[in-house]
Amino acid sequence: MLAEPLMDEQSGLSKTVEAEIGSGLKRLYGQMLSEPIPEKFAGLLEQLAKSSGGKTERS
Amino acid sequence: MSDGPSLKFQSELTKLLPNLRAFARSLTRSSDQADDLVQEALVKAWRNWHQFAPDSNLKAWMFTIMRNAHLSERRKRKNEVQDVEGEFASQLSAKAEQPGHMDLIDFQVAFAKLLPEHREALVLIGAEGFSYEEAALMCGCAVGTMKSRVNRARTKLAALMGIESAAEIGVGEASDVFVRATG
Repeated sequence: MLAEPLMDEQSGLSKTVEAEIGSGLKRLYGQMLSEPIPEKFAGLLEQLAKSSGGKTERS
Repeated sequence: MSDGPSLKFQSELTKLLPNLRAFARSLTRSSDQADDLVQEALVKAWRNWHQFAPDSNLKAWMFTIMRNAHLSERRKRKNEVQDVEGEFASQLSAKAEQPGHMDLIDFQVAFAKLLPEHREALVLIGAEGFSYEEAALMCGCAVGTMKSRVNRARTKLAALMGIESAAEIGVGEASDVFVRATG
């Protein structure tokens, strides 16, 4: 079946397992990254911009 | 008082919102707490924008602010017993299934069980792509400490998911062979 897997000397895990964990992590994180951003954040940033005295570089 | 932050600063922060929310979720394991944390970090960033060196990494700066805010919040709350693993796991359950891959829910449940510093290290290095040096700087630890956290996090994840040896991963049928942590 599989050849003797290469082991990572640091973690003691095989490269296959490390790759599997890496891809699982990227998928989980990617799913969080792709979630829609609630409106309240844009509102907060607008509010912060206004509260800093209208000194932003508005055109 | 000096001038406020520029529009550029505001738009850069807006672009970072997905990353800020994802990192906050990784830290808190709860979407409500994560959003509170992001809001707090945005306010802090706005107040301290003059401390940000324009040619440095805004994401690293924001993550550091968020991480520090999270740590002080956790100290405040340390007497409250919280179990948010279940909530974290349930949030993505509806859309997680993908055939031919390891079960994302299993992965998520295992990830949520890791120590906070291990979750943080894994995300910074493995998901956000920061260097060990950058991550160590952000977390206020030695580079060697950051490396060993990442390794321990991987080993622990593999153990939690029952994939300690490569032979247990079948091509295309991975989700069937994982030993569920809870029976």
